[in-house]
Amino acid sequence: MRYSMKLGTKILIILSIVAIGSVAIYGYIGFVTASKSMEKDSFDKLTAVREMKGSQVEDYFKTIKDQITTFSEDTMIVDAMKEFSGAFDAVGRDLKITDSDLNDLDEKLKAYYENEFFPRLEKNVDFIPKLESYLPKKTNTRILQDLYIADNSNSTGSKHLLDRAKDKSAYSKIHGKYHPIIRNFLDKFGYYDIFLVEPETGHIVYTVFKEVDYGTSLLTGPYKDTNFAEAFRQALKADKGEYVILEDYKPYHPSYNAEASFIASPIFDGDKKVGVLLFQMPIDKINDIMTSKHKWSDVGLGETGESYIVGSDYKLRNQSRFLIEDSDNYFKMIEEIGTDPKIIKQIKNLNSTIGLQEVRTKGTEAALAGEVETEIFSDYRGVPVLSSYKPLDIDDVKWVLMSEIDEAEAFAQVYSFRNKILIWFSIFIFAIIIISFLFARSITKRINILTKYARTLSKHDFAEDDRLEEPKELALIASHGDEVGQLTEAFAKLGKDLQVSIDNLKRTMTLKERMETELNVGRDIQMSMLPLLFPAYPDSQEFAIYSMLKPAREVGGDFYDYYFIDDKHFCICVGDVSGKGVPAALYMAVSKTLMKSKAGTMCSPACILSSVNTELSADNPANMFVTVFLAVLNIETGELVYTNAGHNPPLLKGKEGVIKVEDIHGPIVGVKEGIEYGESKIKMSRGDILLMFTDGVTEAMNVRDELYSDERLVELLRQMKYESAENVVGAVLQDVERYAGEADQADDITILSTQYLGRSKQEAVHKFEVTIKNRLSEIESVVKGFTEFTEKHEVPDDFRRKISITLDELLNNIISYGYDDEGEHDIEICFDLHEDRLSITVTDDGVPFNPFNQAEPDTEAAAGERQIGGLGIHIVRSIVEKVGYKRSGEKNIVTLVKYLNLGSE
Amino acid sequence: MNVTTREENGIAIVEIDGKLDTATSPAAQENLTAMISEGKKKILINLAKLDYIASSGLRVLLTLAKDLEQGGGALRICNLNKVVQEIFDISGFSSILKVFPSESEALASF
Repeated sequence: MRYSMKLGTKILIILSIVAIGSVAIYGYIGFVTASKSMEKDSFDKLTAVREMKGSQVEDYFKTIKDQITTFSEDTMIVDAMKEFSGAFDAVGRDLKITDSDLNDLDEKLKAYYENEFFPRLEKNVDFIPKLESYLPKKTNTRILQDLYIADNSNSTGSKHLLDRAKDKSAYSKIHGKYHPIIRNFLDKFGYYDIFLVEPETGHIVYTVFKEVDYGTSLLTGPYKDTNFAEAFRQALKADKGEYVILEDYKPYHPSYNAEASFIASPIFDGDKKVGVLLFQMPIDKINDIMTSKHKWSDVGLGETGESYIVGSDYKLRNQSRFLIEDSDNYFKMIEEIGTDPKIIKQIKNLNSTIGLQEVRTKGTEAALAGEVETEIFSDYRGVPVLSSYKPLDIDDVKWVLMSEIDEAEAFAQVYSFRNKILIWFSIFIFAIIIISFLFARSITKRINILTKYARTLSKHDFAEDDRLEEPKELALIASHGDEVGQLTEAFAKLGKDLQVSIDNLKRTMTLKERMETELNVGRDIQMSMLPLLFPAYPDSQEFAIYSMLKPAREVGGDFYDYYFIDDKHFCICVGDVSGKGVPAALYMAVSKTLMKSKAGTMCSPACILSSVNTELSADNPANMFVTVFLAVLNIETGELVYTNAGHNPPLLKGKEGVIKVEDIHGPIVGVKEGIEYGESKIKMSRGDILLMFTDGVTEAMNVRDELYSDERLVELLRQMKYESAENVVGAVLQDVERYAGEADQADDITILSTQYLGRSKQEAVHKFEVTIKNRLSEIESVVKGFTEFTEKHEVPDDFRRKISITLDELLNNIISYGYDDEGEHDIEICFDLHEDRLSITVTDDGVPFNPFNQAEPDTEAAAGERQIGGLGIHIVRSIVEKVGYKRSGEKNIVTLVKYLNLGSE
Repeated sequence: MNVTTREENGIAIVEIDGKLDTATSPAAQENLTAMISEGKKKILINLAKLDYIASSGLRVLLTLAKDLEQGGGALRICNLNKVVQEIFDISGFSSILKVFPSESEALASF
């Protein structure tokens, strides 16, 4: 069986595909749109932070520049610069320092460097600082460092609290005058330090905090290679005021290697450059801006976001959020991406990423190249981040500002949204499948009930006592009103209609069956009206007669009849009533009965037929008619008187050949009253055969609708080699049937043949009797005896041969099949040779059995399919002119008559 | 009944003298079956000397024809006398078996 998917499954699948497809597309578009929008939100937030931080930093530097410009132009500073420069040069002379004083002073100074400065510095560098590299050489420098650092009673980091040293120098006097003012300014604006540097020698003539660079020369001193010295040299180049130079952060030894940035501005007294003012900038300020004072989440940077500045050296300019918040993890991560262990150690020592952590990412490179962008890439920890970056607009330094957040955090919402969509998607699909299933079932359930009903309908036999019951659900389904409902309604109606139709059909069938039964009975009656016993008149030696009627369908109109009118006159007739069926049959019965009753009183066929015609015509409302050939044979003379009333002319086969008995003596019978039919006479010789038939023979049609025809019948009869009345009938029927082939038999076929055998002498001339036992081997003795008998009486050889065959067949048949016991029985064979014929009587005491009452064998079958049996008796019947059988007492008596010198012999 | 056999061009020619009836047919049957067993494929039966034939004799001929056909062989019959011809006609054997008027015609037909 072909695999077919159930309707319910199909509906389920289609609905599910449509629903899942649309939900999936909708979900996907929603997800993509939402993620884009969330990504944009995240970037926007980062950009906002970037812009805010950027402007803060830029503003900060702008403010400083404004301050330094303003400050450098202040007359107080110009005065201070000039006064400090003068006093610095004069300090040695002012204090009249001797070499021994200097030695004492140096000892104190050395002690300060070794005990205070170096230990602090060593913490932040990876080398051991040497005294000679740091200790100032110039006398004035050494004196001032001693006065204001070594001899300063304030602890390191608080040296600025000393307003003036106790000495009497002009320098200390000036210091006492300006220091509180400048220190106040520093405190107010949060600078790390403020310097005044003499332009010619590069000496730092004043600093607020007085670290070890105090008094040294930025041109020749130990710090001449620092960014501080660089800022100074740049500022020196300026011709006019309003010039500001900013130096980027670099580790600065005097500040214990902390990151220090310097901003410098020249100080002009009129057109004369009298010095350079420098501010040391604290990194804290920038750091505080960038780290939002550690409140990242407050500015919208969540758990992993940060903003930071990277310089042109690709180093961080502020603290990493990750170092501050989760240093262990941070170190682990930078270690994993292969950061130099030395750097890591330094970061650990300083607990700072400033100037140490390298940030060479896609973003910093792009930003340093001047690009402003938002992008996703891996940051300095190797973690993918969303980044919004831009270069900062600050003169003299090239910084970029990065505002970043971990992708994982930025997209956390996207992922949670995706998960939500997936959950809803699953719930939706589940619901759709359930609904589809219920929907499909609601349809298929109804269709299933319908199918079940249809099956019941097809199996139902609609018997009287088995009415078709309509299931209750059917009405329920029909009430739905949709297509299935309508179909159900139609089906229910079909069931009812079918019941009605079948009831009607049954009634008709019953009626027809009854009709058929009655018609069959009718045909049986009709056939029983015809003489059917053969051999007919076995005791009449003068003639042999054989006939058959093969009805076309049901009852028909053909008939034949024969009977003795008196001892001498034998009446034979064949008729054919117009039409078929019951009316024809009834009319035939009437005609035949009438014919016989009339024949009982007269011997002339013309009289009989005239009389019959008058009676039939008198009362014939149905206008039926009958064609008749009626003949009366004088068995003593062979004279045949006949009348033909519109019937097919019979054929007479004699020694001279075949003659058509063509005279017609009047019209068909039953049409017109008072017709006087004529009659003709013909003399039949011994052996002549008269063949009577109806048009069923000559008008038999083959499959091509061609008629059998008179000519064919005449030709058949002419060529016939063997002849007896029975043989001729059999041969004609066989030929007609062969001709018709598969074609339906349209009309009744009636064939009747009569052979005239002549008047016989009753006394046998010669007699021969033999009795044998019922053994096959005995047959030969009979044949032998018979041969001798024939030789003695000069019986022709062929006659002898034929009788020998007959004897062989008949005796073989009796011995083989005639007994139901194994015992010995006698068979008596008696030959009576007359002048014109040989009569044979075979008497046995076997079981009652008429050998001639058997179906004829099919002699047409091919050799391969030929059944043996019945052939012997067929040969017997064909050879002899008359055969007879009777049961007398306990004995079977078979008689055979073969005429001498007949026809072809 | 007497059966004589000769061979011509690989064709066995059988002459049956006498009659073929209940008494003689079994012997004839035996004779002819033996010939098939010997491997004879083509058999011509000349009935010139046959007096008459009964249905038991016809049966022998029919059996022979069937057996030969099954083995790819062939049976021809010739020289029927008037009565035998009539029996052949009545029984339908003239159309079942291949019958020829003379021996030469029968031989030519193989």
